[in-house]
Amino acid sequence: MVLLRVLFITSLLFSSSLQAFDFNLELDEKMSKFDDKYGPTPWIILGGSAATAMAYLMRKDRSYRKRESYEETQPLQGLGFVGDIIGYGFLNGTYTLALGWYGFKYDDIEAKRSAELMARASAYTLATTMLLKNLIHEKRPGYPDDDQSFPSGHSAASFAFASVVTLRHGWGWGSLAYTMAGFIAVSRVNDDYHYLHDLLAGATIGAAYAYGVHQNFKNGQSYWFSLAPLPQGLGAVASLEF
Amino acid sequence: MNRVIFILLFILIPSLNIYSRVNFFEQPIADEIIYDFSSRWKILEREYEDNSRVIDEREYSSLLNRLAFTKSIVKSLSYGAAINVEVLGEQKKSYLEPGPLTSGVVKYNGVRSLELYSQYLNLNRHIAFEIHLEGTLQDARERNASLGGYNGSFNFKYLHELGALKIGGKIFSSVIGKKRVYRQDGEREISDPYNQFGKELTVVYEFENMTVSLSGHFLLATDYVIRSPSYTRNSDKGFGVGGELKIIYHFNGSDLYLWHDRANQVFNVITTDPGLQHEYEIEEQSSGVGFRWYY
Repeated sequence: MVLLRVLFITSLLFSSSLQAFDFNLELDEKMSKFDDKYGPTPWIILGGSAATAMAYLMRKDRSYRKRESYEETQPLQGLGFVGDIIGYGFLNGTYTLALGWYGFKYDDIEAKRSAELMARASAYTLATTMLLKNLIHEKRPGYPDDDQSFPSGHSAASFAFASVVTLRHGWGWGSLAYTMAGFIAVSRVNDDYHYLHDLLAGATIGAAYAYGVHQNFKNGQSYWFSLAPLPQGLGAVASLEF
Repeated sequence: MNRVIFILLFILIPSLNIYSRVNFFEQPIADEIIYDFSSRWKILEREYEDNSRVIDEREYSSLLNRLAFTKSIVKSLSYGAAINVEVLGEQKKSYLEPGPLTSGVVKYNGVRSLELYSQYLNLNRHIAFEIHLEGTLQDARERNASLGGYNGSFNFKYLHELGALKIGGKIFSSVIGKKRVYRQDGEREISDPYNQFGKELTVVYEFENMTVSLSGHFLLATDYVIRSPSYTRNSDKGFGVGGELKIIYHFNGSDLYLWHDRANQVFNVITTDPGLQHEYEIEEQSSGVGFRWYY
């Protein structure tokens, strides 16, 4: 832990120099403007990436040859299968279809917008997650014959869902949605399908896309992502309005 | 003695000029400084179990005192430092299996650690980011209270206000650094670094002159490994739960608080025999009293 030691000693020395700082309102204003422009997305990416890196660096290589864990040490014990089933994007799909149907039937622009945000956030999350899974090929802790561990698709989809619900329907519904997302994510570690860093990366991807899509929409910088037919098959097209 | 202090505080407080004030983020307003002193009776148990049968156990109990100050650099940014000192420390060791290690009691006292922390608070959104470092440059021995290494964490805090009821919380990610302890039997015990990630949920109810808060947390942990020449305990994952009840009295620009907390962590031990149901359990509880002064 040389890094922690260096950080600790540097902070100790740096903290004494902070006494010399004057109360600075200009820095406050700059920070506030940054927050208004970019929203929480940069913080989610920064915090989530740091948490993922911390969990990854603490992992030991021997974890790869792990057998299934004991029931006593599983926080959800035998209930992990519930998270496994509902975490396959069913929440995202049901929300998009239900709000989309309601929006078109009753010409409700807000419902249509919610459906669009969920569809976009979920699609970008799915694309990024699948791309990383197929680039990284990390073995699952309890099932080393499967190399699709990093990042957790269940966590990504459920956190994208919870973040859109929070942004569109407030913290009341958002709390319930985040509780469900947390349950789904924990169930993946509970049942030895994922390491801690897998679900942290997944949750970061899902939440970052949801908040990013929402922030761009608020700032009038909407972007889209779509599949396009090509002579040899399919391609992906992305566009961002500045 | 602790009981007497608690009773005295309950008699003393109602006679003071008290008013309502809640500082969930514990961030100084403008250029004020927060001084904080707390003292807690802390009990920590580390058990290595085979199917709920304790193979070895260490129980630590001590009076842990913490003195902290927090200062603003700008309205939204603060930093602080703290020192932790343990007194009346006692470690009880018991080993079920015969071996070179002997059961017994060790008394300990001394400076446990120094803490440094910094926080960015966005008052409009009611969220905060905190970086927290704890460590000591002193070697850890069984007779001193030294932490014997470094810990680092960063926390995201949030708060929703629903009138007198406030719902807040914290998402935390911590690295519990490598620790080395020189034991009295001549062995050096090393615990490797591991990571904890979790969430704490707090419900706060504000009365006219006091605040009651109830919080609970859940965390997931990576590999926790302890090794010494006599034994090695390998684990590959763990989880933890805990809760805290806190009562805060507000008076004359200061807070007086009492709290009780409990936490438990269980780790999945790796053994060569898959038939064994070994686990590592860490149980912690503390009761304390503290005083916070806004200057």
